[in-house]
Amino acid sequence: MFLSQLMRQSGASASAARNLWRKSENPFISTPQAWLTDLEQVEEKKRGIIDLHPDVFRVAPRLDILHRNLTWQKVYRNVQMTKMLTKAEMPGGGRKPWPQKKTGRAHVGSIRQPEFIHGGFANGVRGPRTWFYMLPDAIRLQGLCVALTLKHAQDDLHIVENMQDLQNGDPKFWQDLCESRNWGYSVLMIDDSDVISGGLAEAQEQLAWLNCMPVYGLNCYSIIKYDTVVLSKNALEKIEQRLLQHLHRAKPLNLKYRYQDYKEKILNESRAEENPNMPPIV
Amino acid sequence: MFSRRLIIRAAQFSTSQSKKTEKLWENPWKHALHQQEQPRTSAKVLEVPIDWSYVERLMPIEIIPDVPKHETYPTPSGWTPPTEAAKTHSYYVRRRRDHMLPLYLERKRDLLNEKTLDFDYVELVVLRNVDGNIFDCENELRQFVEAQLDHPIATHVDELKGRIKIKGAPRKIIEQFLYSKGF
Repeated sequence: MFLSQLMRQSGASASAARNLWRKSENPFISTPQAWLTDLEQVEEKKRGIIDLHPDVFRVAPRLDILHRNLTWQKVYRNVQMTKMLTKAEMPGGGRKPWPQKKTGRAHVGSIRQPEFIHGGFANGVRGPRTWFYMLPDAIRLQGLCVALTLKHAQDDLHIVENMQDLQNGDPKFWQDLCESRNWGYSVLMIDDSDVISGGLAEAQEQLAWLNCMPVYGLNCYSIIKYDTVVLSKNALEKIEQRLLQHLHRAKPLNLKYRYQDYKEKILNESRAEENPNMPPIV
Repeated sequence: MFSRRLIIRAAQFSTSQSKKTEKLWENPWKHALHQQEQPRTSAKVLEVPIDWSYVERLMPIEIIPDVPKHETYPTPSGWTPPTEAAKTHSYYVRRRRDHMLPLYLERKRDLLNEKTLDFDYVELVVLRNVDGNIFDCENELRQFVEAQLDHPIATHVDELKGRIKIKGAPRKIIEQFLYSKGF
């Protein structure tokens, strides 16, 4: 009621009505809404209000699950390449340096024993060691929903009509735009297409705090890292569709991800890639 | 036919001989492109209208479908859809994505039994997806279950997660409670 009054005052045209797929009949969860704006001019003009799906943008703020996601994203790609050599792997040391007894010295069999200077290591770091693990799908899905909910609840999630082929690519314009709309220190733009052209593409090349990302790159870490997340309308549709599809999927949410199942796919990933500067793999 | 094949083979042999002077790394593009080329066959395509509906119903289900309409509820399995009465309470229990009640069984280790030297286990029932005033839900649940069982039960409420853990009551009775409230 309040939002619709506001909408009438600001002369917004688009209606909030949106067909929300499998929306719960829960009377305690109101449908979250967001203003629809555009990036054509510096001032924020409100074009309308958009309904957001409560299963994605109004979930319980489970910070523990968000934390699990953030930790996983930081940790899973760590690889420790340090390998400390044992006495067997050090060069030399095959000869007994002095007789076992009657010299008054220690009974040693090799100059590479761990007691020696420049000897091998007894209990050293034995890399390569990996911290890779996969979070269950349910946790990753809920983590994304929690992150989006938090951004929306803190008024850091904005929805724009279009990001492609914008007229103005001047960095000053974009700085003014983000400053006048109070978008904070860093802004992440998310569009459904992975190719972006026009003004935004020119500006984001020059501005380090402004970044673009396709929908398939959406992740908890980036959502939390940037002060403001801006979704295009198409991206919003796609995100909701993809997340809901997985939240209602018939397969279980605790699928196993084993390397042997994905080995062929991973190894053949670069088959279609052709770089004009690099010779092809023969 | 036989002679033609022979000639082709001979021709290939001769080209490979002549190419031997050029090394593989001098022009890798040429070599790669040669591999990518597929023998082209031009065949006429004739589309046959086939009724795929029998095949389609064998395909795996991607998304959990809506429940079909039944003539009477509860269904022979005892399942009932949520009713309008569910929205009248000060709390709401949402169904799972497969339209079942969000009741889960949990087994937790208890103290060591000194006589048998084995660990005792307690069976807990977890009710999830509770929205609204979860403490009201817990109160009413407790009254309902204790009236049926004639002994007190233990409950634990996690408001943030919307979960209630119940000790000392079978799942069946909690199911009855939820159905009686219309969830």
